[in-house]
Amino acid sequence: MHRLLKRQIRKYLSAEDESKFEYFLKAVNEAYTDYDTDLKQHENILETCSVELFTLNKELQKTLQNKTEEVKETSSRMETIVNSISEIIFQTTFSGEWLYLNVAWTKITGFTIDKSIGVNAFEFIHPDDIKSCLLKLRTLIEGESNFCFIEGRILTNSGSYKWCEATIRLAKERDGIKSGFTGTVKDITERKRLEAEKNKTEEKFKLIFEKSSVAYLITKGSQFFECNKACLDLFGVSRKEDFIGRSVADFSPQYQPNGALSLETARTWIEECKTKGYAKFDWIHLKENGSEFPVEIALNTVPLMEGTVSFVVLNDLSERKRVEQELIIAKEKAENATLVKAQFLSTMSHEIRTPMNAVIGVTHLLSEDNPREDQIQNINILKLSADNLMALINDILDFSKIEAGRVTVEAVEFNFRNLIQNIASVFIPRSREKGLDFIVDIDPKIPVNLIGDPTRISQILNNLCGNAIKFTDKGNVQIVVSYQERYADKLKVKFEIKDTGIGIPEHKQDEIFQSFSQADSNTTRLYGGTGLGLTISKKLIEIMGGSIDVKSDLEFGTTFTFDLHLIVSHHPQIKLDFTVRNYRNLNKVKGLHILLVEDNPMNVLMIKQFLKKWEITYEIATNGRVALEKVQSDNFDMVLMDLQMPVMDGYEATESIRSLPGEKYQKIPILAITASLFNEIHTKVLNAGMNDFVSKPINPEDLYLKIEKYVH
Amino acid sequence: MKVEKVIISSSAEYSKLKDIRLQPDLLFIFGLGELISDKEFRIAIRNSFSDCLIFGCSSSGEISGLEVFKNSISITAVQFSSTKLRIESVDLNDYKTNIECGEKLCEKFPAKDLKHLMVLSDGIHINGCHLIEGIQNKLSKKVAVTGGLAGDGTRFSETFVFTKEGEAKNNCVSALGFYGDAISVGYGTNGGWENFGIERHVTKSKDNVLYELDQQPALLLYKQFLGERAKELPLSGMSFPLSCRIGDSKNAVVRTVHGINEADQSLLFGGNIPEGSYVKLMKANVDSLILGAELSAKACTDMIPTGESELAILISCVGRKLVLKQLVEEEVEVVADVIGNQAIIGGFYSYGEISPFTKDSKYYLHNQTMTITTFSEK
Repeated sequence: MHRLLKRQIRKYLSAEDESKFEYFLKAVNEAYTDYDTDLKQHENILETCSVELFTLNKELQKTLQNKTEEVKETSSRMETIVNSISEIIFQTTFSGEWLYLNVAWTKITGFTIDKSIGVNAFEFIHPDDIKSCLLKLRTLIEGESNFCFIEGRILTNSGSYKWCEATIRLAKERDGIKSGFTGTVKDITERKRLEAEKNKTEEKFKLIFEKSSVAYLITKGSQFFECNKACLDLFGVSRKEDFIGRSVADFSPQYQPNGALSLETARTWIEECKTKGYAKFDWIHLKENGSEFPVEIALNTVPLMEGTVSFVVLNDLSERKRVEQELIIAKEKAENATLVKAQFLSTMSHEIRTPMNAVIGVTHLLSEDNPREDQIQNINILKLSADNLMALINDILDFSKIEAGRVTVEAVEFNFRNLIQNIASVFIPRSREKGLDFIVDIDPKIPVNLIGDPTRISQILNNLCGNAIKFTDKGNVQIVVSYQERYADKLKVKFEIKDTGIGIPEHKQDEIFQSFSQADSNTTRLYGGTGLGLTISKKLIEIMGGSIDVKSDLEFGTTFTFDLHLIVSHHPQIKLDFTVRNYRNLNKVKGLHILLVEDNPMNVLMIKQFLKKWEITYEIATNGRVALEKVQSDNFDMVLMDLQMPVMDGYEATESIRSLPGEKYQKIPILAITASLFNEIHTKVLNAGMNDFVSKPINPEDLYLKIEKYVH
Repeated sequence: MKVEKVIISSSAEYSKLKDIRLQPDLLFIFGLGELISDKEFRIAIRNSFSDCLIFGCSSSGEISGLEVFKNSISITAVQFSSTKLRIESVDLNDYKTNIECGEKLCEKFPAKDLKHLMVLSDGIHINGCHLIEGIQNKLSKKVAVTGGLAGDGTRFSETFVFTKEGEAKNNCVSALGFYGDAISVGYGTNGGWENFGIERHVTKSKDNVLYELDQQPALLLYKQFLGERAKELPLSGMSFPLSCRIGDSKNAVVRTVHGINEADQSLLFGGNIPEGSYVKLMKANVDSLILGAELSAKACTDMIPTGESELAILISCVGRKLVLKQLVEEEVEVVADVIGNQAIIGGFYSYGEISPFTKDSKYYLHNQTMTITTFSEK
């Protein structure tokens, strides 16, 4: 039972009463207990609520503190930002007194903020600018616009004024009541200066445009839009109004030199200029008086305020075209001169060769005719001089051909080893005469059969070896041929011609490849030679795609090095055999009957002497026609055929002989006798049906070997 | 309209049905589940009133006249002069959702001349909010709905509702439609509970299960405020409902705890507590609850003036009964004082109430209120 009720019962009720009111007391007790429970419950709620509210309050305080700090931080950050802005930020009252100014105010005007706040802003404005300023502000106040721009001069503490631009708005309180003005002020002194400068620059450019001696034109599409004086002059127009507004078509002929319509061509160029941004081309224009003149036109697309226009630079080509024409004529003249020179040299060489053949031939005959001792010496001098003269003529001939660009490089199969050996066989005896060793070293990796120009390679090696022997008095001369690299069938071969001779001073090493140059002018006197050999060799190597280099030392001698690219042949059969067989079997040629076709009596005389010696019988034909008749009337074993003859030349004669009916005419060996270098004419010779050739001047040994070769 | 009432305290008193002398069109029957589902009782009813409509359910306390009973049957017999009635019932198990159930129930009522609808539902296997949503989907906005959820003492184990055929069954939802211009209906609902403490944000909930308040487990917080009485949960929860306000709405519905789940620290409520809504803890004192009942009655008199209503059906929450205890009849008397003593009063203590806040407004599921429906017929 509830404590309070128990106490009350004991105090106010007897035991009888208690039993009498048992149910009532029970209800009262229940109510007491429930009230207690409810009270406890409410106390708990109160307690829990107050704890909860206390906690929340603490959290709120903390948040408030954080927010306060945040605001402080933000406002200090804002202050920093506002003060780091280069523009003045301001606020004024309606009557114009400064309410707020940031640091930029001091930076721009020099006045301190403290002293300026409260002062009327108009005190700082140039008197001449106040009126326009007030007018602008009125539009704001009357609500015609939300903000206005004002340009004016602001006083600085030095007493001078600065150009400034202000952006101003009405300041409104939170309830929308207008409270004054707010805005920013920018220092535009620099901009004003730049504007002035820009105006000046514009003026300058206008002047440059107008006064330039180059014709400038600005077009819009094909319409003339603007031009300078030089342009008017160029077109022969006196007044600008007569030019501006007209179009390209008005000042162009109907057709351009390439036959295209001017109008269409112009359009194409304008289109190209639009896409590429520029175009440059030659054009024929018409002057006002209708005369044509050539110009070079440079079009440039320029985006201007009025839309895209083309800036045109016209370059009068009349003078240049004239000079060009002159240059072309001069060049043609020069080329002709060179050609004439080459032809002259070529002709001269041929003309000189013919008598030279006689001189050499006769010298040979003399030397083989058992001369006396005193005669031998003279004959030797004669022989040497003739050989030198011949070499000089050959060099000049070669040189002129190279100069005239008439050298062609052969690509024929040949036996590389034989070629080198052949050259060696010529130089070995000569070296021995001077007491020198002649050493040949061929890299075994180099294939035997190659494709290239053996004649030219021989020529180069002959020249270099000849030089080496000439300038070496003791020691040796070497030909070293080494394998460099091979790519598929392409082979790179290095040639080295080394000697232990007098050497070339370093400063002369570049010069030696120049025409008519030798290391020393004394050299010519001492060693002879034309000075053309190295130039020719160098050019030939270059034509064949190689290069030559020299290393020399006055003590140890000289080494010439050059590379050549040759092709490896897969056909072992060699068409040209340069093997020199160093034996004579006179019996083999004895009793032959030969037809000698030659118009030059000197050559006839010489060859006759050799043939007689070899006990060969012969008939002479002075031209091809005679030869054709003779070959049918007699039974010849062989024909020696000169190529250049009157009436009928050697080619025609051979072709006629070969076309005669009868097998013997097909088989009879016909050897050409020619002063030309064989590689230049060999195709023609072979095509004509000749078997081989003997070159002039006639070398008796050569002639003998060739005859022997074709004896059946 | 003629009304008579009778109270039956046990199975021995079924014969008291004979005390009803008028020929009733309708019987409101509220009572102990065990009794109203008794076969004998059904036979007794049918013997006395062979073709009378029966509308009623099991309860957590019965109201008859100015008295409150327990473990009894409160019968209110009504004879109408011209008003047409229609009762329809559905079984919750026949529908996938409670919404669909509400929709199907309403579809059974012809819309023409329908004046008012009363709804009684199983009090345990139902989501009252969903049921009302279903009803609202189908019913004309002009028709007001009042009613409640059947009770089962403070046991929460089994509730009954009378079917259309007059058989008390579990999982049943029944509706009573009033047709015609003769009938006038008044209604009012009010709790009288007071908020305390701070408003809390519902951060996690699903339908009528509340998981988190301000990211804190809901049960933990709830127990803190219950103090010693936390031991008596869920029963003690009856006395500490929550008020639930959605968004900026000022009207808050009251939600009573019907169960707890220690495993996930959640609270199970008699109605939905949407996520994002705001709730406050509530407490009551006797005076404020009685005042609440008085306000409900005053709302009714706005529609049927004092002294004119002939019948009043009171549906009051079982939670109120637990708080009022010995003073429970005070809240019935105060209603009678307001509407007038001429009205015959019947009713029951429920697991939930249905009513609009004010005249012609949307109806909601309530907890912890005194919900009154008054009738008069011309």
